[in-house]
Order: sequence, then C-alpha cells, then structure tokens
Amino acid sequence: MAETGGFVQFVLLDWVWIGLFIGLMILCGAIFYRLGKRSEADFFLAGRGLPWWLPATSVYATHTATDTPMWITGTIYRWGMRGLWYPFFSAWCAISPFYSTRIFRRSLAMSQAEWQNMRYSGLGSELLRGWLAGWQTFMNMFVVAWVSAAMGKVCLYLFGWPNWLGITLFTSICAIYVLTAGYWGVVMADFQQGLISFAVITLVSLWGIYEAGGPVMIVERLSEMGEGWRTNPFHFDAFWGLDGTKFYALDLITLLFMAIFGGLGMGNFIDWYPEAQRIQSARSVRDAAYSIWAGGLAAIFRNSFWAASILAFFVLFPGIESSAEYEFGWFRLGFDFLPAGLIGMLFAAIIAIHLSTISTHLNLGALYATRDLYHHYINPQADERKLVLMGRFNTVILLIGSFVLGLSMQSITAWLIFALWLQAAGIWVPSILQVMWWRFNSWAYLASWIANLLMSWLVVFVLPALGVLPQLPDWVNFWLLAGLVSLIYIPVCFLTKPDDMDHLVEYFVQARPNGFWGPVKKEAIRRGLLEDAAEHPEHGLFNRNWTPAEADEWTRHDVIAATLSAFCYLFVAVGVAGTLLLKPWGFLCLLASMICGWLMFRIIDPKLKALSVAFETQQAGYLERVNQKTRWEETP
Amino acid sequence: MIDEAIGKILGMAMAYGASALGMFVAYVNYRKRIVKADKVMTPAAWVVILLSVAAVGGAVLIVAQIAGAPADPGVEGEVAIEAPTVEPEIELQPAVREPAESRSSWPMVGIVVPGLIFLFATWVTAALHRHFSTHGH
Repeated sequence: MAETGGFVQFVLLDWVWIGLFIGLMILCGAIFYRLGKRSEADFFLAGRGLPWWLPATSVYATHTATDTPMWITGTIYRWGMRGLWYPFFSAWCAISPFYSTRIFRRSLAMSQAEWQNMRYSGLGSELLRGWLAGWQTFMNMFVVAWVSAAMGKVCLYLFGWPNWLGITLFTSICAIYVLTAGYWGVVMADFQQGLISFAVITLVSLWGIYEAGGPVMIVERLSEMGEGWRTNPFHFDAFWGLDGTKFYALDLITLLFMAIFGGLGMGNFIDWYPEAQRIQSARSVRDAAYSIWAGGLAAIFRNSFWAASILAFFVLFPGIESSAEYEFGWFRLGFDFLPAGLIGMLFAAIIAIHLSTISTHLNLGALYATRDLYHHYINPQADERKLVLMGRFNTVILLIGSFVLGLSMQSITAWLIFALWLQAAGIWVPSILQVMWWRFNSWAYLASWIANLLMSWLVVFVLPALGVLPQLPDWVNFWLLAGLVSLIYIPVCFLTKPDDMDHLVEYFVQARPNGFWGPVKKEAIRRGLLEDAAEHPEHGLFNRNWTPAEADEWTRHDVIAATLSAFCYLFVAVGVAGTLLLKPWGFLCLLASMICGWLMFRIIDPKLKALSVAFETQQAGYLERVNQKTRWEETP
Repeated sequence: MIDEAIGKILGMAMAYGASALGMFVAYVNYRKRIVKADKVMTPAAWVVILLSVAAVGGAVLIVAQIAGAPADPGVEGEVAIEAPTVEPEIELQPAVREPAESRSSWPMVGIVVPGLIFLFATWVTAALHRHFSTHGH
C-alpha cells in the first residue's frame, strides 16, 4: 500500500482526499474569474466590498505559512511554553484595529506605497512611494521563493521528492487561480483554506495530546523528567543578561512591547503589507477593524494549540538535539499517529496553508508592480482592461522570479527573510512616528530605511563576523538598532522642512490620524473643514448614540477598547494553551479573555458603526481624489 | 562562513537594488510631471542606467557562483537542490510510545472526518460564489 520513498506511508484513500481537496481549492478561487477581471480595484481589492469575516480568514490564512508550524514547533520545543512569546508579534493586530487600521482604511490607499504619497508631499513622498514599491515587489517574490522552498523540504521529508518538484508544483497550482481571479480568487480560496487548515490544526493537536496520554499525563511526565518549567509561559532564566541561549524577562518585555505597540504604526512588521491590502478590501472602516482583530486573534489561538501539542511531542520524543529534526515535531504528530485517510487530509491542509500564503504574496507583489510602478509611473492613463492585464503579467513575472530564487539561491533567500525580521527594529519607531506625529517628514522616513540597512548589517552580521561585537541576544539587537538608526532620522527630520500644510490638512481631514497633530487639526478647524471637538458632549462608556462628527473624534473609548483588546490577546495566548493542559489558570485566563473581548465590543462597536456610516457617504469623493493622484491629475 | 556572509550581502544588495530602482523611477517621474523638465533623461543617461543594472545583476550572479551559494547541498543544512533525493537527510528518533493502535482502531475516521470537512468546504464555495455573483458586487 505504501506509495512513496519518504518517511510517510500514504494509502489510496489519502491520495483520494488530497486530489479532491486540491481540486476544490483551485475551483474555489478560479470561479471568481468574472469578478476579478472587471477592474484594477477588483483584481487587487475585490472591489473594496468584503464583509469583515472574509479578510479576517485571509489574515489568519496568510499568517499561517508552510514553515510556520516548523518555526513554532522549534521555539516551543526549545523554550517550552515561554516560546509562545516569539510568535506573539501577531498581537500588533490587537491595537491596530482601533488606530492604524482605521487611519489606513480611511486613506483609501491601495497599497502602503500609495499611502506614503498621501501622507507626505513633494519629491520626498514620490521617492518613498517608488522605494516601497520596488521593495515590496521584490520582497513578495522572495517570500514566495522562501515559502516554496519550505514546501520543497516538506515534500522531501514526506515523499523523498526532488527539491525542484516540491518547490514548483504546488506554487504553480496556486498561480492558476491568482492569475484568473486576482484578489477575488485569493480571498475566497483563503476563506476555504483557512477553515480547512484551522480544523486540521485543531484535530492533529488534540490527537497528539491524546497520544501522549492526555493533558494530565503530559504535565506529570514533564515533572518526572525535571522539565516541569516547560508548562510555565512566564519562566525566566533571569531578569536580564547577554547570553543568547537563555530566556530573560527583558526578552518577554521587548517582545510584548514590540508586538502590542507595533499596532500604532504602519509598515513596522512585514505582515503589515498583506494586511494593508485586506484592510482596504473590507467594505467599511468597521469591517476593516474587525477583520484585522479577528484574523490576528485566530493566529494567536492557533499558536496555543500548537504549543500544547508540542509539549505532547516533547513527552513522546524527548531530548532531540537537532533543530532540523524537532522542527518537524508537529508534522510527526500527524503523520506518525493519524489513521489512514486523515493523513491525506493533513497533507491537504499543508497544501492549503501553502497556497494561502503563496496566493497572497503573488497578488500583493503584482499589486505594487501594477498600481505603484506601472499605473503611477509608467502609464497613468491606462484603462481598467490594461491594468488587469498588467496585473496578470506581473503575477507571472513574480512566479518565474520566485522559482529562479527558490531553486538557485535558497541560502540567500533564507538569510534575507531573517534580515527582514531583523530590519523591523530600525524602522519600528519611524513607522509609528509617521502615523502619530505631523512633523515627521518623508526625508526622515526615507533616511530611517536607508540607515537601517547599514546599521543592521553592521550590528548583526559584519561586526560579529569580524569579532568586534559579540553575538548579542535579540532584545539587545532590537534596542541597539532602534537607538542607532534614530541618530540618523531625528536630525534629518529637524534639518528638513515639514510637509506642505495644505497637503497635511487634506490628509488629516480624510484619514483623521491621532497623536501629535495639533497644528494641522487647528488649521483644518480654522478653514472650516472640521468641527471643534470641544463642542461635543462627553459620552458614557457604553454610549450607543454617536453622531457622525462625534464618532470621527478620538475619545477614551478608543483607548479603552485597544487596551481591552491587548489583554484579550494576552489572555487567549496563555489561556488556550493552559486550558488544553487542564491548568486552572488556563481556564481563568480564557474566561478573562472572553470578558475583555465582550467589553471591548460593547464599548467600541456603536462608535465604529457611526463613523463607518459617516465615512461611506464621503468615500466616493475621496476615492476619486486618490485615483486622480495616481494619474498625476492632482499634483502633490 | 564566507558563503553565509556573501549570501547576506547579495540578498540585501538585490532587495535594496530593486528599491533604489523604484525610487529612481519615482524621481524621473517627479521631474517629468511636476518640475516639467523637457528632457529629464538623455540617451546617455539611459545607457548608464542599463549598464549599471546589468553590472549589479551580473556581479550578483558571478559572486554567487564563486561563493558557491547556489546549488550547494551542504550549506547550512539545506536540502540538495538538483539531484532527486530519495533518502531524506534527517535521522528521525522513534517515539517513546509506539502509535501501534491508532491506525487500526480508527478505520472510519479517515473517511468520515475528511468527508464532512470536504462537504462543508464545497457548500461554502458554492454559497460564496452565489452570494457575490448576484448581490450587486
């Protein structure tokens, strides 16, 4: 019955399920062909009309790549439950829905590069748009190459397939519906793939816990092995230190700080860029907010399922030294223990995970190449038919480029992905400042990107290689890079002029950023473009009667909702894993997360509804202006 | 070690090269459309740019070849790239507990569970298509 030369024995029933699920996934994307070809906005944003749950599952599906289970298995196997904090960066989705998501959705920019053009003015804004468009086009190709390479490894492990086959086969299958239906195909297939993968991740994780003897047995076995600390997510080796092999409290503080407050910015995480596309595809500001919130929370939920099952894996397979071996731990729980038929479905879920990530990045890379490079710079007067055609052409180019990189430069790709994460440190603060502070200008942001290149190479690669610096732990690297890069962009900011006030007022009235925008707001009120918020009455915490003008203002409701949301995420991360191990604190945390989520919804939902309705009445006019800018009909 | 260092430099050079190219296109457009310069780009300037791009691209490929970064099966535990590999590289440790009973004691699960999920996913697909094709989207 065995059909392959790899580690896993597939039977006919497994192949039947694999074939059926692959067919269904392709069909789900491709049948939206007619909708995808209508316009540029359809091919890249599904016509900006999706209810929140569609982009939410897409956020979740995109956050789950082929290498994600390997990465999270690696961190949990090595660090125990405290390894949960490494993938907790998804928690930027806790605060962002109530701050940066709202601002970005109101800007109506199709891409983050286009947003730079709206936030800043003059030559600097154009340079930033071009810079980010080039970066994102290339980076998405790299991500496709990297994820395809991970799929190649999985196929090698499972079937003993040659690498080229694992890299190209499933990515090419994915390209079928990305090419035909664009983002319509991506988001619909993501919905279906998200459901399949969520069901299978839950099933395999619970199965693994069962095979290890159940939650009580896992905890007992860990204690007997002297590894009881692995069930404690707050177990630290010390408060701080410089030994990269230890886990310090400062590691956790840095990770939490970076993750949660990262939600105030735009572009400080690599995940922001695909999520920006999901934000704009939502039909209203409220839908955009919930899509990011729910998608991020589902990813946190999923991590906790993985964490509990990897402890089960540790009990079943203790003391593995090689990371290359223990990183396959979660896969082994499925392939070693599931019965025939379910193994095929597990592989179908792995394909679903792979396709959802690949499809997103193919379409996203094509978006930057089409909207920002082709439409804005090369052919501003292109009609919709030509733009969709270019979208498809760019998708093919990205696909071919990713194969070349994935097959011939795997080691470079791996390092580059690492560098991408690392680079978040230097631009982390500037990415927040550009949203929160009116005086932060395009030259400062551009300087931070370029300075970050030099600093990150020096601090993390070059100086340690030359023996000038020791290998520093992650938390030191983060703060060191953030500090060094600030020495460049802060002087640049103050030595160059602020952006044009007319442009800032126009942006402010449409996007309504909050933070340090006093002079711009004052000017907008002086010109009669906004009401003075001081004239609005104070509302109770659970107010349900917001006027549009009141809802547009930032109030304590937004701050409280964002805070409750962050606690909800935190309690879910700890609570789900604790509950799966039947720990009393796990149940308590889960209960606390539900209370936080419910309170958050009660406080913010009426306000989100009111401001969404108000914004939608003006959206058509704003949208026309955005498109005029891209066509250079309205000069920056 | 040298492969790793060169790989990092090459990867970043390509990424930042693409960004710089995007920025350059932006600059040309800004000059052309806003400053209204008659001739932003002379033929000579285009030649210089094309040569620069070719030089950077060529340098990347040559250095990658010299450094042995591509197609090197031994680098950093990467899997072999060209030749079909039948035997996986990782020696797997056996589990403490054998999964002996699992496969035989759940014969119907492998049909019922995937079947239910498949039917649900098919229904979702049909429902999504019906909704978005007909509700004014």
